[in-house]
Amino acid sequence: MKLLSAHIVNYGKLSNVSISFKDGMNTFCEDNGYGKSTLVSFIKAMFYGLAGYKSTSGFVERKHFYPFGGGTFGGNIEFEFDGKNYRIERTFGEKSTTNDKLTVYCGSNPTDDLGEVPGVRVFGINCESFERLLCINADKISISSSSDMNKKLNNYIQDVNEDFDIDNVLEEIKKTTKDQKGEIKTLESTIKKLNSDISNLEHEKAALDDKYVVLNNAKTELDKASADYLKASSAAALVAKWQDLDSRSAQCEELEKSIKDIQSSYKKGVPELESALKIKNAWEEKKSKENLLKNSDVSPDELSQYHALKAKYKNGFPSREELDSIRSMIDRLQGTKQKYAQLENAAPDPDEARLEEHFNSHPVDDEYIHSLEAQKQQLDALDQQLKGINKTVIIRSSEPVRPQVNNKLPAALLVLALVLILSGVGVLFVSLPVGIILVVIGILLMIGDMFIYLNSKNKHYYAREDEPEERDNPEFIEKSALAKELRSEMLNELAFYRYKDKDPVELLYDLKADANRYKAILEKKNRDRSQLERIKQEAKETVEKLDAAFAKYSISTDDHAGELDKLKNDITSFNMLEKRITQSKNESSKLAESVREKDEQIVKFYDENSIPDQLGIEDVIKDIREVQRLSAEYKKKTEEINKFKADNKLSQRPEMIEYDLEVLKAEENRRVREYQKIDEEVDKLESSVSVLDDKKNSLEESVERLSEVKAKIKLLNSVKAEIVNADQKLKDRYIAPVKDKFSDYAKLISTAVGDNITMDKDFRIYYDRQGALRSYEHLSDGNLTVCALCFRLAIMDNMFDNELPFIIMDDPFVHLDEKNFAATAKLLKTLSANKQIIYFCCHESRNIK
Amino acid sequence: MKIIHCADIHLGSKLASKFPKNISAERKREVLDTFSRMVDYAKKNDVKVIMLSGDVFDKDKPAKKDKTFFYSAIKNNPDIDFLYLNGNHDKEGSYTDNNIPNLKTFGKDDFTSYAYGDIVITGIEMNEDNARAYYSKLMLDGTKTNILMLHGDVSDSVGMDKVKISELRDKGIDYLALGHIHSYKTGKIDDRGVWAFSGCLEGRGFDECGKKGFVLVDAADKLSFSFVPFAKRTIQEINVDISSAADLYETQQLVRNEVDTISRDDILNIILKGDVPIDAIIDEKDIENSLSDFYFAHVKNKTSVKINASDYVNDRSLIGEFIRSVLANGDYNDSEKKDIITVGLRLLSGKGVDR
Repeated sequence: MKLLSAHIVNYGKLSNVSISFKDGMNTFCEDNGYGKSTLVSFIKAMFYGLAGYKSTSGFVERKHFYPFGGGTFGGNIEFEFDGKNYRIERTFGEKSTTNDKLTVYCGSNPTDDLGEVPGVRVFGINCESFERLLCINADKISISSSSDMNKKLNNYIQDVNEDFDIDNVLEEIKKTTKDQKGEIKTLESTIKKLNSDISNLEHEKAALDDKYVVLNNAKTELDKASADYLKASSAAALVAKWQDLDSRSAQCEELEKSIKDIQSSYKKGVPELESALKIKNAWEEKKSKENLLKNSDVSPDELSQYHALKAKYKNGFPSREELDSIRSMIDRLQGTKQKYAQLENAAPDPDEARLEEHFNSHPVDDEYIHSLEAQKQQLDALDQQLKGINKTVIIRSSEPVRPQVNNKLPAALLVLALVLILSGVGVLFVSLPVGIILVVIGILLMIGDMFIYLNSKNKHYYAREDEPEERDNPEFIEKSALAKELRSEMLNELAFYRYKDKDPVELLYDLKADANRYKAILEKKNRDRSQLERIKQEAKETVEKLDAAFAKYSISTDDHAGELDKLKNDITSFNMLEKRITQSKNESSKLAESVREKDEQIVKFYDENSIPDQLGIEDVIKDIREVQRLSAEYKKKTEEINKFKADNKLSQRPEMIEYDLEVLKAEENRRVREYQKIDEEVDKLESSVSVLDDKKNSLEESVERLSEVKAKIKLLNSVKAEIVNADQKLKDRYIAPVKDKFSDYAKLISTAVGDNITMDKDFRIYYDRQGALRSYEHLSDGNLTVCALCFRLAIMDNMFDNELPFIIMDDPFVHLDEKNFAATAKLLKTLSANKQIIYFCCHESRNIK
Repeated sequence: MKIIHCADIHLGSKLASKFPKNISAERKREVLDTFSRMVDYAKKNDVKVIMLSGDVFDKDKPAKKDKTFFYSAIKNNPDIDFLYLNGNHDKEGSYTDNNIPNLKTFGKDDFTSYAYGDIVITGIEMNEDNARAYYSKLMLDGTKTNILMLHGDVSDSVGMDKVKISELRDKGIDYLALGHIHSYKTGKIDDRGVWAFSGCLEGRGFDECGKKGFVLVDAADKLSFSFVPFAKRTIQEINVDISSAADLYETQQLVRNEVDTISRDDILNIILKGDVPIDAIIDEKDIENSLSDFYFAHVKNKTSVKINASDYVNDRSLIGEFIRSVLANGDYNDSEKKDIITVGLRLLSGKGVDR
């Protein structure tokens, strides 16, 4: 690889500068201010670009080398790489990389072969390493490789991942180890806490175990108390059962005694219930017959009554026909009386009463009525005559008739015409046409009015000739006056009898009708009076007949109906008494026989069973039934006792021990409460201890995890140690040639570091001084410069096989003395045979030609 | 007559720490449920006796709720006799309720026997005092069908929690109902008798894998017995060689193939084995998530990175230097070397620390 040329458009103080490079040594010996450092920066910037203001601190090349005179900031560089010619064209923005432009040409064609950072592709190292390795100046003389250089060294050896960085690996191990240690801390804390919790829980568990013992004891005590109570209550129950049995036995004995008591009254034993019941029936029948017998006799009262009736009716009782006749007469008398009372008490008709009163105070006779009728006939004759005579008569006349004229319309029209004319005259002063129109209309209307008036006057003004005249008839007037006078006379007459306000003819008719009715009323009253007299006579006759009928039986009374009922009752009573007396005589003999038979039956029963006489049959039956009931009950009780004994196994009466059940129950309850209390405590403790297993599991997990983490840390430590070891070995393997090369180069220049040098993994050099290894930093500036050069050359020899890059030296040998500079210059000249060296100096003494 | 032989129920036991809390709590309930189901099974199948050969409870002083549950199950099934022999976990005081007629227990001083017609069930609770001497006390009527209950592992020696089978030969034992070992296991005592561990009813952790249940003994004419798998879930340990897997998908597929026929109600403990490439990404959580259709799955990666030392003999890179350095380091054993190389290679390949 070698530089061919560079063209600087504008870069720092350099502007439009073109430089050509040749193989081998390219020396630029110029005064200070020429722009050597600017050129070095330009070459680097062409390959690696410039950092922006923000991405770097300290010395900012973009700012420092921004063209002093402005213009395009950049240029191009041509070089040969991998057998091809490339040209990098770059321009830069003022402050940031935003406006930077990069174009790479391979030959004359743009290419992406070299990527975004051509320096990395071309040299295989980053910008820092480029500066450290390939750009040597008097200030940058540290001797060490960068990680990038190490990587390049390693990668060069084995084509592994270029991103690999052992520092990252070690950092990750460190970070992971740190994390793991953090976890260990946490786990240890957790374990400590869990151990503490478990310890506490184990204590609780131990307490729980003790509690179980207490609980068991409490249970035992409770069981004992329960058993004691059960035993006592069982014993009490047994006693109660025996007492029950005793009570039942006593009841049986009582029953037995009662049975015997009853049986003692019956020497031949208690008779059969059936026989006793038959005797009871016989006894009841006997009683019944006796009662009948007793009741079959007629009572003295009845006899007395019988005889009294017989005496009363010694002449015999009336026959049915007689009784019916009396009943008929009584009924007839009753009807007559009712009829009489009806007539006597009948209320008068109000209208009839009024007429009676009217005509009693104003008597009227037929003569008077005849006179009024005569007047009526006269009046009728006059009215008949008047019908034949006209009221008026017609008379004819030839006198002219004054015409009748209607002047109202013409007058009104005239007034209207005048109003219009006057109005028109008035309006003339305001509106001439309107005034004229109104006046004309008024005049026209007046003319029309006059025409109408005159026409009318002429039309009606004529004479009516030969028209007849109607006048009153004097005859009619005369006859009418007579009729009126006659009517007035009649009215005056009738008014006396209070007949008025009507036509006298009608009033006459009313008077006549009322007079006729009055006459009829008087006639009816006379008839009623006669009828009353007749009824009265009939009643009297009937009473006399009844009195006579009752007198036959010595009865005198006004209450014929009541006496008739009594008579009937007497007849009925007498008949009944007579019949009864006859029947009684027949039945008594039969009943007496039956009573005797029953008596014999009862006596026989009593004798056969030796039953004391004082015991009635009811008592006997009662005894029999009581014995039966008691025997049944006795039998039942006996069976129950046997069953009770069998069920409760009451064979032998136990020894009676008295227990205080209340005390024992209280003791049992106390033990129950005590047990429950401990039981609750056990529950609480069990609940608390229940997490123990979980805690133990957590502890197991934590311990396991701790062990894993520790093992992992141990493993990582081992891994780290082995990686570092391997890295060191690797470096040792490739540092050795670097060290050897370094020694070779150093010997060519100086003997300052001697033969015994070592190089650490970062290529730091240590040299032997009196048996002690000293860092290269202790060398003089001159020797340090030599060492730095030799180190770079050694590294380059090992890093780059085929494509040896150029090396830029920016006046690095200012600290060398003449001797060392000569040796160095000689070495460089030798090296330039196969290396392109770009050498800058500012003094002729350090010029290498 | 049908008899159930079960043991090592470990009521109230702590579950494996690998189970999440909710699973752990549910499994505790399932242990109780399975016991309850077993009693129901006995009831439905006319089983007259349930032999509990020790470790019914996980500790001497069990929690009240576990005791209440257990004794309630017994009280509520009066037609079944529960023959309860204490084990090494519940050797003291675990049964305190003596008023249950159908609960039969055993003593420590001498053998206790319960006869059911011609069937006699005998047992003794082992302790330090009788562990060596109880053999000589055992006297059985050879004309009967003899069942012996003991709690301890079969052994060639005598001692606590040990049952020396040879000492029980020719004693007339027809069936030795053992407890202590949590898996079903059986063997011969002599020409007449057999011994059997019923195993536990439910697996409680990854150390109790496989089918769990009880032994159903039929002592009607000729004694016969069979193991009845009865656990609600089986804990299955599955080793899967994922050497051939190129990536996570293929790894999951290999695991899936292995577990495909297993009930989804079961619990899986998947152990990944084999050699995998340096850049293989094996995330146990991802694989566990892919098995979420199972009740619970736990995945453990026990794979190794494929390393062939000869490949790096002439490798001039840092990796070659690293591998050679590790392999040459005598301070590490082979396993450590593999781990260091695995992690180192991941780091040097820029893949981070975590495997």
